[in-house]
Amino acid sequence: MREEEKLGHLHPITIIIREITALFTELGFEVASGPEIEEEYYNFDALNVPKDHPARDMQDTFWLPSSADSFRPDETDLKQKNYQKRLLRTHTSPVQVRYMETHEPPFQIIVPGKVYRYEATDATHETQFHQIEGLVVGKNLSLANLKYVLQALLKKLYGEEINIKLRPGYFPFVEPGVEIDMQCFRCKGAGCTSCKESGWIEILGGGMVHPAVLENVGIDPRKWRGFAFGVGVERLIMLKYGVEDIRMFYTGDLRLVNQF
Amino acid sequence: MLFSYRWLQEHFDDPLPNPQELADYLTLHSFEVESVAEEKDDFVLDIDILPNRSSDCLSHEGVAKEISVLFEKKTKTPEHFQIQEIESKPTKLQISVEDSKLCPRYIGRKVSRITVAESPLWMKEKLQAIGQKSINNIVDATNVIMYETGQPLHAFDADKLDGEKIFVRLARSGEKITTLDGKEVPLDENTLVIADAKDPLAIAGVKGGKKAEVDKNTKNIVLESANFHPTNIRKTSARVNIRTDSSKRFENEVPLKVAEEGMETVSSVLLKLHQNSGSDKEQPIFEEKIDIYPEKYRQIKISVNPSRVSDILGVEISEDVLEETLHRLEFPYEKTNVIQKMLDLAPKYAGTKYAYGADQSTGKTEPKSFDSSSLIQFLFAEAGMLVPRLAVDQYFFGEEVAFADMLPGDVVFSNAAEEQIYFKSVHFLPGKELPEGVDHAGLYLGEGNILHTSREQQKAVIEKMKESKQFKKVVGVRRMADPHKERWLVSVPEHRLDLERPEDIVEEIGRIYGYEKISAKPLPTETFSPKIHRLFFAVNKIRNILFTLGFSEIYTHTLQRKGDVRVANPMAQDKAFLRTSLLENMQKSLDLNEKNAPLFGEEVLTLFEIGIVFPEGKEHTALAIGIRDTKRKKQQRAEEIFQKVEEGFQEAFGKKLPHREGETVEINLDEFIADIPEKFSYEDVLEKKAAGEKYESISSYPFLLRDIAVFVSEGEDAFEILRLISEEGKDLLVRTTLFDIFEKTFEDGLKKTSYAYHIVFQAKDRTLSDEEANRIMDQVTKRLNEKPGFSVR
Repeated sequence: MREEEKLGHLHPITIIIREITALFTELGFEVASGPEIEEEYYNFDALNVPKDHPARDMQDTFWLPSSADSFRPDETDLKQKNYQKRLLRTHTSPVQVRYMETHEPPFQIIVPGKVYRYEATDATHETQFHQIEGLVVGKNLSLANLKYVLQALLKKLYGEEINIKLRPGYFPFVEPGVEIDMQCFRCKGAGCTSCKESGWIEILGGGMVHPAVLENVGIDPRKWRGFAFGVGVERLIMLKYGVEDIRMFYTGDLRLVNQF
Repeated sequence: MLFSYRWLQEHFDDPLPNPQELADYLTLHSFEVESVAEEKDDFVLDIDILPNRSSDCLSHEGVAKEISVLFEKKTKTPEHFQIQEIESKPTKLQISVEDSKLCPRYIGRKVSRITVAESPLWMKEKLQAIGQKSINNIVDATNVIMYETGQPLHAFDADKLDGEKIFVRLARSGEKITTLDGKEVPLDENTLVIADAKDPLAIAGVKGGKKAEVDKNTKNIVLESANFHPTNIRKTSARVNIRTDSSKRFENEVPLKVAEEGMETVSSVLLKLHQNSGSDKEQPIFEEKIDIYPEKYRQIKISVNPSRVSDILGVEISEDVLEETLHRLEFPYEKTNVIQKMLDLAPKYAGTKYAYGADQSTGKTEPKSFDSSSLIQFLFAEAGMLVPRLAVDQYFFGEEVAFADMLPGDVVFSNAAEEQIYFKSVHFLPGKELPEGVDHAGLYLGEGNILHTSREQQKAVIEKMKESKQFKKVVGVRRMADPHKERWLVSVPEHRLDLERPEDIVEEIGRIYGYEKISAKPLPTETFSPKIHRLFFAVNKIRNILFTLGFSEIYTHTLQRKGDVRVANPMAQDKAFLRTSLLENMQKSLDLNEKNAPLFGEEVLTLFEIGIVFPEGKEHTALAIGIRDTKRKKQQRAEEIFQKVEEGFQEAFGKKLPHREGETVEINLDEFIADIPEKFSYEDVLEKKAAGEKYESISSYPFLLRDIAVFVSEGEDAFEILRLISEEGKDLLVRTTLFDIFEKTFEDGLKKTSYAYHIVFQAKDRTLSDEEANRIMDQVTKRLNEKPGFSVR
């Protein structure tokens, strides 16, 4: 039975984005953003995901009609991006590229935003969801710094006693690339339904920014190094509060929202 | 891909760790094992091999190799796959490869007098273990060897061919093929096919055709073990909409050497099959294989600065660990200096043919000709250093050196006015300007000598720089690497096509060493002052205003049934367009929530959404506000709420909101906030403001609404009503809302207060019946009436 409410209710996506943004602004990060209609160049090519590469299959894409299909590029026109096909961004990573193109390092940014995937929906998959992307470019950065930042993030959301582990992962725009697993906060690693009995939950992806990505945006990878990470917001909420179906977030249903 | 544990074990004399332990270790150091399933007397591991490792690990041999690195166990070739010396006869088979870019290697071999039969048990078991069907001994042999080596193979019935020549060529417009599964597939001029003199026999690397299918009467076959270009296979496979285990491997690039292993293995397996069949039949005749392999593989070399390994990983990696790990990986290496190494190699390339062309990037095959900058690129690549392809990019890549300080190994750039002159960097740090322009580069060898490509002599030459016409107009000297620093020059084995840069080697070292051994380190302090994001601040300020006024925030779908921009590949017709406004979804949400209003105990629904909309294909952030009085009689209540919203906005932003029409209003926030003053802190807009800590799943069953009004005598605790309702309602009680209170003095002088409640019942697992709700209410009424001082009205 619930008590009467006087105040309103923020959507859980807002709540988690705020919590994470608050942490990162304390750590000296800047909030950055970019368009949801994105160019193929920013979403893929500049991130070291070339055309016709199997890595493209990792992110199924909603394509949009191109405004300049007739324009035929040649190799040296790579940076003349007006011929690129348009799409709904499949991740928040293109904002990395846009930010790096227009800013001089060092910098550290956090990018909350909506992304789109062309995939069948079910309880854990939606055609739209939110990501938070982080990018730090500086002089002496390492995987150890990435681990520090992600540990801070997960402790804030799931409690101080949480443990994380890094294992190899593959994202074309980072090298080395890592997947970050969190010890299940429900069973503390013993194994339960939340973690499919493994004791660990796969929760984040990240790595050291691939030197080709830095070169593409005009940053000399011999002078600067960076790390980046990305996390799905809805998944964080589902784990934290026990929401079973990702589709519930977008129905405009107060039976969900008013519980927060 | 599915892997059989027993099959993997056959690669080792030592016992492997148990399946779960093996899976956990692989996940921690190589790639994710998604599941381990016990099947009969075997275990099946489902391993998620991602594109970076697809060229070496979509095979049992590849994963066995990976296991051998992790556990330091020696591998062997399983008995069934051991290669035998094969006595071969001269062949009449001919093979013509039209374009060696699309087909870098093609090995064909004719085998006569074979017997098509059922496969032996070991083969059937292997295929079955990883979920594959057995067809016959010939087809199964090609398949099982693909899952062992990663090399797709194909067998054609030689007697069904027109002629004795195989053509690897692009399809002709209008050509068609009927595939093995009986589908007719139209081909186009970009589709590579394997053909005989008349017809296509297979879509190269993707799917075999019906014409030369091996069937139970087949006596003579042509075996194919080939290599096809990844991009072409990927495009073809997408165009004809056929994805096979073969196309998957080719589009991820198969190492060129595996074609040979594939052919040798399949030949040996077929020979043994016939030897073991025990019959007194004549043995098959193997003809000589034909191997069309014009451009040989070039080994990738990567020079690694050992201190950088520790720097990037953030953990101290000693040179001992580094050496040990490279040994485990079987990556040969030498400690050397990039410049010295290159200078040692350079003279050998004097005399190589000159050819100008963009396709001469140093890659995975041995170059046969150079232009000036591709020669530079190649020499540095051989010394393990990746430098850009174009002279202009090399110019900006290197460190500036005065002409007087020039050392051997430095690169001299000039404007020879011979080839395309670049004035701006193109790929490396694009857009940097070089007003003098550059089109030529040479490697300084010392004593006035330079190695470069001479256009006149059409080859690479060593000559005195002073005497070269091409260096009349030098635009600069650049140093690519420190001539005094020792580095580790690592030679990458051919099966690891994913390794190209020092960072790739760092990853190899890091993952084998174990990322779990990296301890977290705080961020170094950088001189960066973050700015406040104007829009992010504003939308969250607005959320706070509306939150304080009792509004609920919704998020809805961007993809809708109407709009200005249609996605090219919609998932569904009602999700084909990008929304141009938030209002349609706002109306839907109001309608939906009105039905459930008693569940929230609110008569007036107050909602908002902040999101991006796409009118005319342009995007902006919008705010929609929706207010609905579900009772409709008191319209001024909605009006009052909106007034408070207006006041809140006025106070926060000093600006008026546009007029509301009907229940909803939408505001373009990009415009609204354009002139608000810059902020220097996020103030209170990042506060969490969450009420709940745990979510309870929503019942999909209807709720029932009941009302109760009770008179309570003075001096009695009215909370007793709620307590009783809660006791009787148990799990079925969802909400109680007090909607009316008044006092009344009765004729006998007694003062009583009337409390009226809406009560909502709902079950999580079923439709609640009226009777059930009535029973609860009867019970509540009965118990209240029994209490002195309480009477249900």
